[in-house]
Amino acid sequence: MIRYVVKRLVILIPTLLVVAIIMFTLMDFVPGDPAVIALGSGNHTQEEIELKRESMGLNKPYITRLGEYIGNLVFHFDFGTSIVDGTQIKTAISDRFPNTLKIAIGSILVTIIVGLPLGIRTAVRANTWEDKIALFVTLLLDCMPSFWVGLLLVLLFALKLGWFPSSGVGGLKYFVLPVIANSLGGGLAGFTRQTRASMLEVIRSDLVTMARSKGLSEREVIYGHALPNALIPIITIVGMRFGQMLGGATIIEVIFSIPGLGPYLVNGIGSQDYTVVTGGIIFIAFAFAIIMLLTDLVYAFVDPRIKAQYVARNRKGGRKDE
Amino acid sequence: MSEENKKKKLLEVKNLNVRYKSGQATVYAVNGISLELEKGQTLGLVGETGAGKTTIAKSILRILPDYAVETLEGEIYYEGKDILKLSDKELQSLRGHEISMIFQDPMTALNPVKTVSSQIAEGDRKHHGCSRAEANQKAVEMLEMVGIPGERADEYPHQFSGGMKQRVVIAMAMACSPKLLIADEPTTALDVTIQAQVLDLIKNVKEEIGTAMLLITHDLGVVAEVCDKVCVIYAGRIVESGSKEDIFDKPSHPYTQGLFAALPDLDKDVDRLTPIEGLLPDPTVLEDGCAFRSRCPHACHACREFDNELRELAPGHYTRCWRGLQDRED
Repeated sequence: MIRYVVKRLVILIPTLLVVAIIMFTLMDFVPGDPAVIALGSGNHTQEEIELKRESMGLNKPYITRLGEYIGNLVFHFDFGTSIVDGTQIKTAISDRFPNTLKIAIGSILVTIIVGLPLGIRTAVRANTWEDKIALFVTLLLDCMPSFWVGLLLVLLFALKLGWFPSSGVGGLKYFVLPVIANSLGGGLAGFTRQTRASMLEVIRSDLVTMARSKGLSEREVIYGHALPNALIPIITIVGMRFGQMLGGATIIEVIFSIPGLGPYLVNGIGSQDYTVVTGGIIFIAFAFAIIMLLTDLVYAFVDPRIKAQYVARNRKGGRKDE
Repeated sequence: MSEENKKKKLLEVKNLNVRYKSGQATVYAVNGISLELEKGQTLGLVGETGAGKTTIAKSILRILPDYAVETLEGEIYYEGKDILKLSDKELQSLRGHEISMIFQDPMTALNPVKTVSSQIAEGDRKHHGCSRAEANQKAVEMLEMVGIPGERADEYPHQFSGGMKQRVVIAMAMACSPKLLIADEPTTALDVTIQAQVLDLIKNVKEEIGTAMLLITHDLGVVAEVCDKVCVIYAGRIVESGSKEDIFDKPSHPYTQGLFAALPDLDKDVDRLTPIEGLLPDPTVLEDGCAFRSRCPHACHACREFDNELRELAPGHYTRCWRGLQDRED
């Protein structure tokens, strides 16, 4: 098992390298001269610009710049500095990422806590009025983008009712609206439908009929037999949704003025801050890869068949435990 | 029927009708089936795929899929109680405890994420209130009874071969020493070499516990080996029923005769087998007259007006063919 984790972490390195190379190259193609941006607004002579280009190392060939960037990234975990204000990107990310992570974790928790029971319920009651109402509501919610839901929530709960603050950070209550908006807009409805589909497939399978034929109560059949089997696809979905929520959090943060990665990236894009955009996206890709790895590991706890695969790679013959 | 007589019968199915909904159409799966089973007896349900055998079996345990069933009518008496009228709770205490079922496909019937011993022990814990340890101990004994070494009890279904999985399913069905065992094609999904083993196993276990059995199969060889009584099912109806000897020695219904004719004969050197030509009639249409007439070699216009009633040929030997009696008289 540990060897499997280590192996997966090693595979992570080339994946992230590819992401870094693609991002760096893409940003290199973006029109506009970083030197001009770095100099700020106002008119600059050709000479000034040329000097700035030289000092930023922009005159070096593409391959050399790429090499230097990757080298810094790998050996120093250094994303460079913002070309607009010269601050360390690493520091900015480590300051801001906790906020993004809080919103993403909050959203995924809300999604699971609400979506999982609702999905199970609608699967058990498939094609009844309960199921049909849930289908209608989830479809409706699925069509609403998170930023719009966010604005509606602010209108109602912050401006009209005054229950929650509309922006900024502070205690727990500052996170309530962003988390709900991100969860609703980022896939709570979809997650419910996917849970329902996954459960329904298992509920209609032989193993559930078999469990019923043993005289188990409906509760034992659903939670003891059906759910553990339906969980495998559900876990995959949770992993993917979590990635989505991480991305969604960046949009939500802009709406609620939360100093997370979102405003940082959006500002970076707006001011053509190449290094900030590149660094921020590489970091998000890294976070996403880690989440997918964790998802894969959770499988092993749910499904003995997958665990057996992980373990089988380590052992050479004999039926021994890990 | 006298009260006493009723008590002796373990299972009595009367005029069972099951209809499925399939899109807009109604599928007439089981049409007026009646059958009886006494304690310790083995009754074989024989018929081709789609004849409604599994539906009959699942009706007895009431585990038909809710979403597909349109109607489930009739009476199913188990020790005098009508199963179709029981509450969920009463039903649950019957299932697995008094009546249990061996499923057709052991590959899909076992839960892949639970150890085999826990799946076997579940019934005992539920019905006998055993502690986890006691039930697990019993599960290991059950596994050993079906020929699986006890130390494999904590393994998962994917670690077993197909034949072993079916043994696990049998152990599970037998765990609470049921009075009635429903075996739905227990050997169909298995290799021919394993079939005989599994069949012997079921027979032995059944004798050990004294269980009555409803055996569903399309294999006449299996019937010959284990059954006391036989019902031949065609298009959701019993077309012929009787003791094993009646059916094997004096098959009367043309469908039964066709089944026997289709068996390969080792003594004769023939190039081709003799199949029953044609297919089962469309299950979404319930026609008047004999359902087998489109495939019957003796069919004539009288079959269209056939009243679909069983005719008694000899005591206990029934056929659903109007020619049945005439043949005998000729």
